[in-house]
Amino acid sequence: MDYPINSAEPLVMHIDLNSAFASIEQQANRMLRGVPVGVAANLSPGGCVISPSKEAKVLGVKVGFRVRDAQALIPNIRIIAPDPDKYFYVHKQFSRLFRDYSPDVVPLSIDEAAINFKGTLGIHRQTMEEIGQEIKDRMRDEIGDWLTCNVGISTNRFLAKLAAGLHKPNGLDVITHDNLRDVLGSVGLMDLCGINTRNKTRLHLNGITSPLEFLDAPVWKLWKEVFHSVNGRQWFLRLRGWEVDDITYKRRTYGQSYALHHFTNNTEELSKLMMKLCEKMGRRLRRSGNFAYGIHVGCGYRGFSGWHKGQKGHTKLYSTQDLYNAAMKLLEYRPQAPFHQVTHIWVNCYGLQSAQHVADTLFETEESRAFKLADAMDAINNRYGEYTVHAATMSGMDEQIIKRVPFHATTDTLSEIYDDSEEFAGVA
Amino acid sequence: MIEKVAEPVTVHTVYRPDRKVALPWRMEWRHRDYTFNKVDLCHPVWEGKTLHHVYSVSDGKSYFRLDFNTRSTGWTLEEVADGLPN
Repeated sequence: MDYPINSAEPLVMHIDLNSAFASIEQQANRMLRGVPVGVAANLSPGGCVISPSKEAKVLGVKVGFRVRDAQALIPNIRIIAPDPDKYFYVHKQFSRLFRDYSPDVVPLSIDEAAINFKGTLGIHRQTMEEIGQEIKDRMRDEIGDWLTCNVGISTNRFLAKLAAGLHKPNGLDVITHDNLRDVLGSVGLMDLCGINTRNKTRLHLNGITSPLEFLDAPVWKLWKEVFHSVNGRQWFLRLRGWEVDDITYKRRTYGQSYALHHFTNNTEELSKLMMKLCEKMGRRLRRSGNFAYGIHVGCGYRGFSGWHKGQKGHTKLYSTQDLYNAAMKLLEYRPQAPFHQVTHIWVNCYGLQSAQHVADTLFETEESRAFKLADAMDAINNRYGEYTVHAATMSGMDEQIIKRVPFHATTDTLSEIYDDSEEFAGVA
Repeated sequence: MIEKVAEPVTVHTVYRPDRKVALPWRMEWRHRDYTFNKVDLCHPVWEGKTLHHVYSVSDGKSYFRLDFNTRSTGWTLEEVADGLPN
């Protein structure tokens, strides 16, 4: 296979909101503008900074810093808690704005999206750069005057994302077949989205030390020697500007996880957490119209060890109670020595089947009653708010396992988590 | 410094026919009047089927987070901030 570099007109745009959560907080609270801000998942010294503002980044704070490290570097940094509803609202406003230009908008996470302009009328009136600049201006005028974004334009999503990362913040770059080699010559392997430490090591072991050498590597080498899979072929095409990432995967699991503030191996404490995780997972499962046959639970222990166990059976898991019972049955198998202090706990359900395929029975059964009860409880919570009715095990858990920002979530996932049943006119 | 308040307050709104929105422009809180010069963000929060409009506003010196409950039609001042670190 000898594919040339894609010389088509670049019609894929990648848009990435700069320092998204911190910028949105600065948009809402103008007292925070121009000062270093860090949005942290947890405000305690060990909490993780998930979004430093542009001002904090200039002073050296990066995503993933501990709160204590950020405060040591910038003593006057404002550390604030995330407000997921606010971020989801801005995400929705972005998506609305992008759909004014093309129906083919793919949210890649809560703060970035890819727009395919192929076949749209706009490209006959304006150049892609003009459209990119117009989107930046409209974002400022219609969503928030403090919000800036990076725009990247190319022939596929991968190169468009690379272009969007070239000049941060507030950049606008285009990668075409003319400047592809120049751009790849100016970045490192780890600047390529999808090349992590392990992939970098793989490439190094095969004598590929730069993106340009990666581009020039033959497909057989990438396939047979570097990646040992079809991934090698995909990288070969991706680097040449051909689209290989426009695949939508069917959802196969629903899951929730939680990092404990207070490490424990007490089964009673873990069971309360597991009940809330199962309630959140069950709500999403039922909203999707599915039930599950399999359940998988796991925990992380102090010292970075872990344990997990899954089981698939013939029982339909639909209500929170069914999911919880199945999860707790598996959790009993975990190592329970005193030093096995749980730091993380997670649960997934799999083996999904549509609940519509359950045949109605002439007489009520335990199963059909459990399905109806779960639906009735969901209807009450939908009307009066989350956890209006819940299992007694969950009592006193209002402040635990609260709504979090789902990174890398698509609009579908976000809609499962957030209520957005009606459109809402913003005020910019 | 951000201070959680959660107190009901008196809010005066103004309707902007050009943008078809009603915006808070004055608030009475603890025997003081605050006039807002900017609504920086307004986002919805759903509590079951009850829609809350959350307004992030400023009077130039402080930031206020106001909640309008569309079911009870009541206003609540949720947060005040002066921009200093906590």
